[in-house]
Amino acid sequence: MESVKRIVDAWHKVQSGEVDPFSVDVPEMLINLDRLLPDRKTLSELVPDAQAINAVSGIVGEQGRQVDFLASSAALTPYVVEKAIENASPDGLAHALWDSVSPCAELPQLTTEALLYSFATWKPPSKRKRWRARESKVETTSITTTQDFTTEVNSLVSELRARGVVDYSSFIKEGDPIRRAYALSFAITYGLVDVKVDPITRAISIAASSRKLKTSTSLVIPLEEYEVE
Amino acid sequence: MNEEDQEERTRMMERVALAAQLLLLKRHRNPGVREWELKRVLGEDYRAVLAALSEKLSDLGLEVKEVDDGGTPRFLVTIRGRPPKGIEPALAGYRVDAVAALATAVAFVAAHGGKSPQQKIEEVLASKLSRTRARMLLQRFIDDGYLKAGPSGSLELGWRTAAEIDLKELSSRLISLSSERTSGPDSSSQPP
Repeated sequence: MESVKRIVDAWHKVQSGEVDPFSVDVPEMLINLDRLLPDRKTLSELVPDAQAINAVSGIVGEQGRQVDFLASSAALTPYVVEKAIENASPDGLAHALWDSVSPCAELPQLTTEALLYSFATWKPPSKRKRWRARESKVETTSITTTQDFTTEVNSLVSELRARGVVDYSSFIKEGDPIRRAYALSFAITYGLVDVKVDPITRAISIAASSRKLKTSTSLVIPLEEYEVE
Repeated sequence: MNEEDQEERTRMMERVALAAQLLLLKRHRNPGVREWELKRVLGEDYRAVLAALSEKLSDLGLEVKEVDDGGTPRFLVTIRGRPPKGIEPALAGYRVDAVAALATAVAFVAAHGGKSPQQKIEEVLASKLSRTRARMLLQRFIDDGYLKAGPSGSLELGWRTAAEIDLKELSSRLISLSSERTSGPDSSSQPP
């Protein structure tokens, strides 16, 4: 009974990768089972035997799989891998892999429908109606190139430079408020525009900046105040 | 070419374009399309369409590959050959340390006959990274298809490793890495 248990244990270890299937002595296992089988008569004795046979066939199957794998892939040994890991820098290991890959080619896609769906999901349910009403506007939005957008941001900054300190709300209302607020947010992040919030009146004022330091400013802009064209 | 042949050719080209869109446009977390989806969209003779697509893609340095994903085929487009030299390794959006960890994990599993206990791989990675990061990265490699969970807590090489990584090339690179340091500085410091 003990030898049967040992065979099943060995199979579990091979299955989990803890033991190399070739380190298990399969012929000896079969001889042991062959010796034990004639004495087994009852079902309770024969079931563990069947499990042991299944385990032995599993080990042989695993040996076959490993032979297939080694024949078709690498000549790596645990020692080589250990040495490489021990000696190489993360950069060296990364380059070793990079020189051995054929990466998958993929094109990320973002559709107008996906954007609209995201808008609708992002907003609280009570406000989703407003976004739905705006769908027709978003649908007509065409793609803007980085160059065009940079020009737009720069023209806003030049406008501000000419005007000095301006009220944020009135500034973005001079045109499409969403578009101007969006472009302005980039100018603020790039450090091209300074933002000041009056702690008493909560009025937001903006002015062109010459510091050009990247900033991380967050503003709460109540969209209900602005009429969307 | 008669009119019927011309029509057939046009239909085929439309199906090739459809196959290209299916395979190239990212629609799921992981790249590639399963066989049932291709059959549904392209029809039973989808393999002929994929062969035509692969031929067209070869001009762009790409190819269509078929890999086994849990007993069913998965088709994806990969770069033909190696990525251009001089580009920083950033596989699947991984940082350099994650690419190094992937190299280690894949090589470790390959060196142990294609299967190894997860705990052992975790220990190897933990010798270079923190234990938490090692665990997190292993989970990510499993999610991205580079490794797959086998029976009794073991890890095996996944479908994406089969599709993207040339294990023979990786082993020769690692052999040279392991021998560089052991023979390099010591031998140069020895007297002639």
